[in-house]
Amino acid sequence: MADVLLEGRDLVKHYPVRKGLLQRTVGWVRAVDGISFTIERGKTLSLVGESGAGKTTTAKQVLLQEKPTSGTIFFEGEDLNLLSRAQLKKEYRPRLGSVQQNPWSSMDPRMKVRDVIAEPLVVNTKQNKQEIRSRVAELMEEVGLDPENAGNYPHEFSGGQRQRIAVARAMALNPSLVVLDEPVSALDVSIRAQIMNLLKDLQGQYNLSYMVIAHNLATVRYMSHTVAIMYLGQIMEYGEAEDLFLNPLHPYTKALISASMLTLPEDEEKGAKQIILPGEMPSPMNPPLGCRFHTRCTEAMPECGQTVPSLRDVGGGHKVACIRV
Amino acid sequence: MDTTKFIDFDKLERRARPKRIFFQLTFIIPVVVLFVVVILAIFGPLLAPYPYDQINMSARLLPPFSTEDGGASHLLGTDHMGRDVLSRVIYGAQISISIAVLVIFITASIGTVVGIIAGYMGGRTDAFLMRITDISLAFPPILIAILLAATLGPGYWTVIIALSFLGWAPYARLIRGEALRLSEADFVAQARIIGASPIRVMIRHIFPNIINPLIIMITLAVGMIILTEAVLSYIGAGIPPPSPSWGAMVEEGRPYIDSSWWISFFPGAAIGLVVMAGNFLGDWLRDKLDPRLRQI
Amino acid sequence: MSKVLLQVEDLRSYFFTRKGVVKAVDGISFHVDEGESFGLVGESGCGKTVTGLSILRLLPEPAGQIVSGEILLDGKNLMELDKKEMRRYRGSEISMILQDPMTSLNPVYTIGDQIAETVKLHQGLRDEKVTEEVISALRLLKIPSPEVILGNYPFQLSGGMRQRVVGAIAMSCHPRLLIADEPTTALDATIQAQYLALFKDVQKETGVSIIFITHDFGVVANICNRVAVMYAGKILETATTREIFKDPKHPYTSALMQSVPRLDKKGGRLYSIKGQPPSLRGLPSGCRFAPRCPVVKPVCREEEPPEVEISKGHFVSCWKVK
Repeated sequence: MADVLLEGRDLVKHYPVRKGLLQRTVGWVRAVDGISFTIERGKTLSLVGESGAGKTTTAKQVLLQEKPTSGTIFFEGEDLNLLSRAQLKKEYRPRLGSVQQNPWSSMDPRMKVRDVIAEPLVVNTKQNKQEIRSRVAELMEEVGLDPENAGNYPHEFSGGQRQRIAVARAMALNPSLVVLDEPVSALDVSIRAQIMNLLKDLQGQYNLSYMVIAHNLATVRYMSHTVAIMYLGQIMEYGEAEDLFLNPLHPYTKALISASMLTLPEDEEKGAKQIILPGEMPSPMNPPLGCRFHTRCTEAMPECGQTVPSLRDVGGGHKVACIRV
Repeated sequence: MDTTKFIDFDKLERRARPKRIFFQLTFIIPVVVLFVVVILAIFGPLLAPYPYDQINMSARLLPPFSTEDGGASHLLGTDHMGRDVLSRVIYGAQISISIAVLVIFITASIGTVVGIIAGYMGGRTDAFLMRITDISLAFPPILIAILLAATLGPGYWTVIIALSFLGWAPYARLIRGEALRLSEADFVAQARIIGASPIRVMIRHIFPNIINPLIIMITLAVGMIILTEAVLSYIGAGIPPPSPSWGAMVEEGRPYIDSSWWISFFPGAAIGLVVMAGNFLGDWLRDKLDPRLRQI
Repeated sequence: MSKVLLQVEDLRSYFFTRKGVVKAVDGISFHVDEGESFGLVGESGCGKTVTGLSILRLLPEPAGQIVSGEILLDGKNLMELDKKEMRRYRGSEISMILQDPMTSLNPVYTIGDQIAETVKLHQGLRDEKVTEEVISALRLLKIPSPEVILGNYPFQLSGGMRQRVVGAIAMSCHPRLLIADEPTTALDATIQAQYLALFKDVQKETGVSIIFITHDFGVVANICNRVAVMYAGKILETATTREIFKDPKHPYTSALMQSVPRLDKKGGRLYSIKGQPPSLRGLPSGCRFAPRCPVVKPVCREEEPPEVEISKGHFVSCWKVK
C-alpha cells in the first residue's frame, strides 16, 4: 500500500468576478474545477500545464494561501478543513516548504540571507539565537552555499545561488512536503541542472515529497514520479511519469509532448509530424461545454462537446479523461 | 571605415570611473546649507552676538555693516526697535528647525502607520483609513491653521498642532501606495506561507522597504513646513512678536521695506535658502534612490 | 550557393558605466544568407541581445557604443550611415521583434494605427493604400478577421495574438532582415509551437532572413538553419543546426546539451556545469569559458583560442579542438 502523504480530493476553486459600483458578482473564474491527486512520501508529483490551467491555484490551496471553494485536502490522513487555524499553524504549516519561481522577488531585499533562512524558525519555533544560527549554517552547507556569506544580502548572490537560499529556507523546519512553483524556469540554462540535481539529492536524503509546478515537460520528466496534465482547471491525464511519457493517451498530452520535443529538420523529413494546436486556451470564466479541450483538439468528435469525460483508470494507475480512449 | 575615431574614448573611460560623491554640487550645497542652519539652531544662543529681544531705540534702523558709536557692530543691521537682525535670524533658525523636526516626527509617524496598515490590510480597513485621509487632504491646510490659531490663540504649540493636524495625510497616501505594491511581492507571500502574523509582516517586511520613499518625502517636507510656518507668522496666525520667527520678521519689516530693506530681506533670504536646500536635497535623493526604490 | 545578406565582422559593443566598462560583445563575426534562419544562442548576459541591437544601431546611448567592427547589409556598411539614413533602414530593411508583447504595443492606440504608423513612415502611401498594406500584414501573420482586429486595442487581444501583431508590425514594410529577440520565451508551449510554425510560413512566403535570438535549443532545432553559440560576449561555435546537435565540438556547447533534460530519452543524472556565467566587467585573460570548462588546459587560461574551421561551415574557438 502506497504511503500517501497528501491527498487532494475533488478540489474546486472559483474566483468571483465583480463589476460596477456595487461590486456585483457577474461571473466566476473557474480556476480549478474538480481535481484529485495523491502525493506519496518521498516522491514527486508534478502539475503540468500552460498558463490558466490552474496549477498555481492548486498549489496555493496546498500552501493554505487560498481556501478551496469545495473539496478536501488530506494531510497524513487528516482533513485540513476540520483543523482550526491554530492547529494548522502548529501541525501543518511547519511540515511544508515553499520555493517560488522568481529568485529575485521571493526574498526581502532588506534582510540578510541568514535572516531570510531563519525566518521560518523564528516564526514557528522557540529556538534561541545560537541554535538558529547553527541551523542556518547547517542548511546553507546542505544546499551548497558557504555559511561565511550568511551576513550578505540577497542581491549579492547570483540567480542560482538565490534559488539555493530559497531551498535552504524551505528546508528550515524539516518539512515533509515542499511545493516548488517553476523552480528553475527563471534560471540560466547552465544553472538549472545544478538546482535540479540538488533537489533530487535532498529528496533522496530526507525522503522529501515534492509538488512541482512546471510547464517544461523535459524538466518534469527528469524530476517526477507522478504527473498530472492540467487544462483549464481539470486533469486531462494522470499517471506515473514513465507511463505517461512513453505512452501518452490524451490528445493534449500528445500535443504538449510534440511541442516540447527537439525536432531536427531531418526528423521532419523522416515524417515525424509536429502536432500544432489551433487557437488558444479559452477563458476559465467560460470553459467549453463537454470536454474542455475539445475546441482545440485535433482528434475531436461531435460527442466531445456534449459529455464531460471522467478521469478513468486504464490500468496501473494511468488515468485519462477522454472518450476516445 | 574605422568608426572608432568618432568615439571619444577618453571621455567614455572617464565616465566609467566612479564619480566621487563630493563632486556633485547639487548634493554638497544643500547639505552645507542645512548643516549650517541646524548648527545655528542648536548653538544659536551661544553664537548670536546679541539677545534677540534687546531693544535699543537709539540704534534703530541701522543698515548692514554699521557700527554704533559705542562700538557695537551690526553685521546685518538693526530693525525698527534697534534689535540686531543677525542675532534674530540666528534665533529664528531655532524656531524653524525645531518646528520642522517636531512636525515631521508627528506627521511622518502617524502617516506611515496609517499608510502601512491601509495598504497591507486592504479591504474595509483600507477604505476607512483612506476616506479619513482623503477628507484631510481636501481641507486647505493654511485655512485650517488659521482657524486653529484663532481658536487656540497664536503661538508655538498652535503652529505645531496646526501643521500636524492635516500634515500626516500626504504621507499616508504615499506610503499606502508603496505598501500596497509590496503586499503583492513574492517575499511577502513567502512570509505569510511560513505563518508570520500580519503585525510581523508589516514591521519586518513592509516597513524597511518603504524607508526610501519616506526619506525623500521627509526631505521635501522640511522646506514646506518652514515656509508654511513663515506664512502663518507673517499673517499673524503663527508665532507672534517679539519672537524672532523668520516669517514674523518679514512681516515686521514690511512698513520699512523701501528704506530699511534689510529687516525683511535677511529673514526672507533665510527662508528661501532653506526651502531650496531642502528641495534640492530631496530631488538628489530621489534621483539617487529611485532605481533602487524598485528593488524588486 | 546562397547570397550573403548580412555580414558582421569583428563587432565590439561596449557599455561605459560608472562602475566600469562592460564588454557586452567583444569581437564576433558571422553572416546570414538570404532567406535563412540564423540562431544566436546563449544564456543571459552572453551578448546576444546587444548584438541584435547593435545591428540596428539601437544601443542605449551614451553608455552603449559600438566600438569597432563592420556591419554589412547587402554590401553596404551600416556603420557608415548617418542617423537619418539609419532610421530609414530601421523598419523597412531591418526589423526587430522583442520578447514582451505587452510592452511592445502601445496600449492607447488601436492595432490598425500602430501598424499604419510604420507603413506611413516608410512608404508614404495614401490612406486607402495604407489600410490595404495593414490588412495584408495582418493576413501574413494569419491573424483572423483582420478588418475587425484593426479597430481593437492591445488589451482586447490574447498574448499569442499580440505577439502576432508585433510580428505584423515588423513585417509590414517587407524588411529583408528580421531580428527576433526571444519572441517565444513568454509563450506557452503549444502557442510557441504555433508561432514557430507561423514564422516558417512567413519566411517561405516573403523570403525574409531571420536572426533568432534565444536561449532555448528546442527553438533553435525547430526553426534555425545555422546557429552561433555565444558566451560572455564571444561566439564559441558556429555550425548548421544539424551539426550542432549531432556533433558539438566546443566543450560549452556539449556541456550545455548534456545539462538540458531531454524529453525523448530518459537519461541518467544531468551534467551540471560548475560555477556561473562571468561578470562582463574585468574579464580574465584567455578563453572566457576556461573557469568552468571540464576539459580545460593551461593554455586556455592564458590565451584566447582563435576561430578555426574544422569542417565545412563549422567554426570553433577552442584550444582542445585543433
